[in-house]
Amino acid sequence: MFEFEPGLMIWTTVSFGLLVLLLYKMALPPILAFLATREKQIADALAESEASRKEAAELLAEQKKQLAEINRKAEQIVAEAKTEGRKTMDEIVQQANQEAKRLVDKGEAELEQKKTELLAEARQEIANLVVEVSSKIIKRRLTAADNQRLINEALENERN
Amino acid sequence: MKEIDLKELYRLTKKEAGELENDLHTFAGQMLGLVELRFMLKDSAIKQSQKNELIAELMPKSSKYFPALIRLLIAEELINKLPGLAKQFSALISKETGQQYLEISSARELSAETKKTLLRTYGDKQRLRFIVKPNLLGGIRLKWEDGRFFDATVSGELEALKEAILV
Repeated sequence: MFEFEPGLMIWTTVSFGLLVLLLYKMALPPILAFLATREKQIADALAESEASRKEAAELLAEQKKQLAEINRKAEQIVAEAKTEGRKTMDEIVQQANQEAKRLVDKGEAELEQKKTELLAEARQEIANLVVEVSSKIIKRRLTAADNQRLINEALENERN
Repeated sequence: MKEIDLKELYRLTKKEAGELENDLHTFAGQMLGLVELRFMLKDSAIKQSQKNELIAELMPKSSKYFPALIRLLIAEELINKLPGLAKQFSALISKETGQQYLEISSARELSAETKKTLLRTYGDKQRLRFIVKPNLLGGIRLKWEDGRFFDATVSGELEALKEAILV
């Protein structure tokens, strides 16, 4: 059971006061110093961390900027390549069309030339054949009387 | 270079110059038309007697001096110049007589009556030269020395026909 004892209470109070005093004098300064150091370390760490974060943010921003620039340049290169490719393709198509037209024209001209030559050749052959065959027939069938009649008619025409 | 003295030839043949002229042109025409004849006349492997026979066969009614002249041309290797010589001889006769020639070509020998008609019509102003060219086939062709031309031959008609086909 609890009994109130004034002597014990006084001694206990004195002891506690001495302990507090002792702690205040002996332990408090190093604790405060430790806490101050620790506070400073934390503040430094926080400041360093903030600087790092800021630097990282700047770096990230710089990288984003560079990436954007690269993307822009890449897009520009692709666009230029597309334009150049389209232009080259158009040129190739145009050249191919021109070459095809030239070949067709040349072919048509050659065909026309060949046709003309063949026609002239055929005409020449027909003409030669007609003359040859006619000559043979006339040579065989033209009598002296026929010849004389031709001569008489010719001389009559010449005199008139 | 060997040459035939045409003036001397004309002097020698004066009376028969016209006939010789006819023969020279007739034979020249045959030579131009027959490559084989040209080669045979030039060929030294063929005897002269054979060549004479051939000439006699081709020109049965030749004039007096013609065979001897051809023999001379063959011997002197001038036979290929005969067409040119014939033209020169004609020009010489024209100059000496003052009469131009009229060359009358026909496929066959003209009848005596036709020749008379021609002489009557054209003979007083020019000398007539009668040439037989079988390749004319029929009809007659008159060619004056000044270049005038009248062609009424069958070969001429056929040539005209050929031209018409080719145009």
